[in-house]
Amino acid sequence: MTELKKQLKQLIIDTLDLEDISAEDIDSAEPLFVDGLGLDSIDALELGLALQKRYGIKLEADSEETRRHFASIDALAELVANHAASV
Amino acid sequence: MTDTGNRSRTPLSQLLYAPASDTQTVAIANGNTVSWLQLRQRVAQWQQQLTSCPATTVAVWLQDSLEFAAALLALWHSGKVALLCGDRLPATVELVSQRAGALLGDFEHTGSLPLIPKPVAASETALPATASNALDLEQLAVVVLTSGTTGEPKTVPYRLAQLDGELAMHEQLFGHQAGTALVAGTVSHQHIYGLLWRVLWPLTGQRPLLSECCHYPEDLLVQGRQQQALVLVTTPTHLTRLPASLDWPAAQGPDGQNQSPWRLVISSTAPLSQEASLQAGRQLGCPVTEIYGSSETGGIAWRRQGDSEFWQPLPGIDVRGDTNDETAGALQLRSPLFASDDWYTTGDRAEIVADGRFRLLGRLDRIAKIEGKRVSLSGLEQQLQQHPWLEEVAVLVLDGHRTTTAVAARLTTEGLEALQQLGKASLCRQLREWLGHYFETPVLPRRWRFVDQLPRNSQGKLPLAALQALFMDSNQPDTRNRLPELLETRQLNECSWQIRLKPSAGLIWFDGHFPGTPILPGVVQVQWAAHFGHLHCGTPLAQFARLEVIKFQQVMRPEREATLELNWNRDSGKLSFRYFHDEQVFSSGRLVFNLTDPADGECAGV
Repeated sequence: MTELKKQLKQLIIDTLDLEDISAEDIDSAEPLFVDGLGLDSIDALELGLALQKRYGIKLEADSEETRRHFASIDALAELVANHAASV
Repeated sequence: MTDTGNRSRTPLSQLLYAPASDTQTVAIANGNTVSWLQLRQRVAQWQQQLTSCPATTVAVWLQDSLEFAAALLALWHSGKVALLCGDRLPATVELVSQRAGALLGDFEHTGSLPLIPKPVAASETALPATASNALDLEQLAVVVLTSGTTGEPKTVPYRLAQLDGELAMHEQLFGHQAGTALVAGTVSHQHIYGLLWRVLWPLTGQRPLLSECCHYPEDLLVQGRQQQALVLVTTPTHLTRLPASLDWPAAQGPDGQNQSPWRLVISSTAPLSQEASLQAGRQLGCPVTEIYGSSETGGIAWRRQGDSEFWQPLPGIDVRGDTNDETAGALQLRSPLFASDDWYTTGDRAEIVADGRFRLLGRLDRIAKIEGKRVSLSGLEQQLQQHPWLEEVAVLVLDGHRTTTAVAARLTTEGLEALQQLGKASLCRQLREWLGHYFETPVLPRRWRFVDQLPRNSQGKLPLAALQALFMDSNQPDTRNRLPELLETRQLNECSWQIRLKPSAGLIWFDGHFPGTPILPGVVQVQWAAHFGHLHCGTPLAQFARLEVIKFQQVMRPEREATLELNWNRDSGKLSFRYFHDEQVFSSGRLVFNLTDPADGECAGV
């Protein structure tokens, strides 16, 4: 899980081309959007695309439900781990 | 009702006076159909809420489009004007409080204004709103709050006739194609584009609207699976981020017929590249219709890039190029919907071709479009300048995978101390959070450079290329397609080097610069000089101060060899460069670095 979280942090940094921060700077529990890392709705679109590409996660269901997993690295890691387990 | 082709349209002024059949569907909200009767009941409730409100101008912010429609009709039929704000940030509410007498809707922060609360849900037997007269088309209907060119926000008034006239244009052009399809959208009705297309056009064209905004592609997919016929009102931000893996063909109608549910796809707020337009058209199974317009003017022109790259003015609108010295090349227009017959000058440069069609060539002023959101760069600068950490600030736009704003700034003593204590990442985050009180997140700067001196030229101006150069050493994860192919590197003496190189055709710098005629941008030549100077001569990139002398003589083309010669003078802090091949000189120039105070240099966390 720790390794997965690190991967996800790096995925966010690379996908969104974030400057000046490294994976270690991102707190797994902190909010990714608005507060915390300060990402916005366009980043959410980008992140959705990247998760599909990298982990094959299809965001087809209720968007509210799916995007709840975008709240933090912890929540994202859970989404990816559950997906991996269900495949 | 007026007849347009074989579809009828109800003018805005008659939506309550001659309403559609009470049983007809006006919207889909939370998956349920809502009838015109239910809408009119809700309008009546809002009218009740407004009876004790003395204000004539009411600022409106509502999440839900159907609720918004009800409140808007109630305001109009109560003789009031709706002020539309794009967000509900505290700073926006402060601005609004000088221009409106009350707030209506989902405001979290109300400042000094009274808030008109949402009425409780209507009972099934509630009386519907009716009107004994049609509204006066000359009535002021909405006021749109937008960022002015100088950074000072301004308001744009729209009369009912102006809105209705534009709706009639769109009905004439696109109504038949859309038919009675459900209108879904990814944009908010709080801006003129969403107001017209997601709310008023469906209401007047008697086609249902989707009450919720579709923020994500999966929302669209869900609608695509449920509905037989849809109109999509969206932006390049969404169209360029449709996942290829979304199973769109499966979304092609519940009857399994090989037919896309998308009858009409409308995109506005920024132009799409031809490639993106065609790609999105293929993914949705419907060509993309782009609308060009502005908050000040409403819709101006449209195009479908499968047919033509040129913009076609909307019916009745005349365009021409401005010939005034100061605004030469600006697109001007005259519209039967404007109160005046004068030509209106837009902030966009355009090239007019035969029969009034035109091509857009970019902005004239310091207004930038960041993912379709308009922002004044001067406004950002003025706000940043207020921060105690920032002494002098320049804001620019960086294009890339995502267009962003970027800041080059000189820090105050306090700012330098903060930088040392917090580190750059944390300092930038705090500045962004602070700026977020005044501007929406997508336009907040994502790149920051703190320098000892802003790169001013001898006239004291900040050349854009010099500002851009500050950002080109950005910690890009992938430099492969940003640097030239190296053929040979030779050291001539202790401080002189010659680098034989070839700009390969795959470099990102040739993308769109220019279509069909790839030329290596001058700013990239400067950046490479700085890059190799740093690599071989140890020039301190962080202390780059300015460009001194720059001359571009011949264009550099892809796959054509060139030699870059560098001379580093450590004493004067100057790096001279020259690109040449045989007798031919492409460019030359000098970069100046500020080496006087090493302590400052350390703080310049570039």
